[in-house]
Amino acid sequence: MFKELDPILHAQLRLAIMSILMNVAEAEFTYIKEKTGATAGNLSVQIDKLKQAEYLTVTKSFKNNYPLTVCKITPNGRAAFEKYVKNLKSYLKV
Amino acid sequence: MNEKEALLVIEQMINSTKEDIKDNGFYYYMWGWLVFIAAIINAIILHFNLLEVHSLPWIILMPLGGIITFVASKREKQPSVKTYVSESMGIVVKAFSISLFIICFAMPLGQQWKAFYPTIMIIYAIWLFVSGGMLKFKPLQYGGILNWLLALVGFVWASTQIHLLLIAVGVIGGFIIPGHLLKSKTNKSV
Repeated sequence: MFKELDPILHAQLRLAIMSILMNVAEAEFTYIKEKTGATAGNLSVQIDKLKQAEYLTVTKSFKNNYPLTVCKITPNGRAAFEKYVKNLKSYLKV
Repeated sequence: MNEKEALLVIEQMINSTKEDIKDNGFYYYMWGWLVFIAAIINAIILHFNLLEVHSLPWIILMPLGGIITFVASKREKQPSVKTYVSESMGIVVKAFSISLFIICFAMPLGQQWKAFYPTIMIIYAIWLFVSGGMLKFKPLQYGGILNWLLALVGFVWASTQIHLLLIAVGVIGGFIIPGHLLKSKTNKSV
C-alpha cells in the first residue's frame, strides 16, 4: 500500500528549497535563488507556503543597508522531509 | 512531477550544497609569522639580556595581530549560507579564543611562567588538529601533533628560552607552512 506524498513537499521548487535547507544550518534567500535557479517572485511565494506549513522559519534583517532574508528548516520540516523521502522510496522500491 | 523526478530534484540539490569549505590560510600564516618573530626576538632579548621588559615583542605584535584580524574579517565577503561545518568552526574558534585569553591573562598574573608556553602550545595543537579535520587538510593536523610533542618537551624541559624556541618551531610547522600551503591550494583552485 502506497502512502500519500506530502502535497506541500511534492512540488519541484518547494522540494528543492527543502532539500537545500536539510543540508545546511541556514541559507540566505540569494543562495537558495542561485541554487534553484528560480525567479525571486516564485521563490518568495513558495518560501511563504513552506513557512505557513511551519516547515521553515524566515528571518528578515538588513546587511550593509540591503534587506536580508535568512531561511532555516524547523524540526517539523525536517520530520516532514524525512517522511516524504521514506514514502518516495516505497514508491520507487529503493 | 513524478516520483523519479522528485528524487532527482533532491539529489541535485544535495549535490549542489555539498560542503566545500575553503580557507586561504591567511590567518594561519599571518599569526604564525607574528608569533615566530615575537618568540625569536624574545629569546634574543633574554639571551643577551638586552631589555628589562623581555616580553616587549609580544606586547607589540599580538595586539597588531588582533587589529589585522579585525580589519581583515570586516573586509571579508560574508557567505550567503551557514553550513554545519562553518557553524561548528565558529564554536571551536570561540572556545579556542576564550581558552587562550584566560591562559594569557591568568597565568602571568599568578606568576605561572614555567608552564606558560607549553600550555599555549597545547591549546594551539587542539585548534590545529580540529580545524585541520574540519577543513580536511592534513598539514594542519600534523602541525597539531607537532605542537603536542613540542609541548611535551616543554613541560619536561622548563627553560623559558627553550620554550620560546619550541614555540618558534611549533608555529613554523603548525601555522606558517600549512597556512602557505592553504594559500597556494586556494590560488590553484581559482
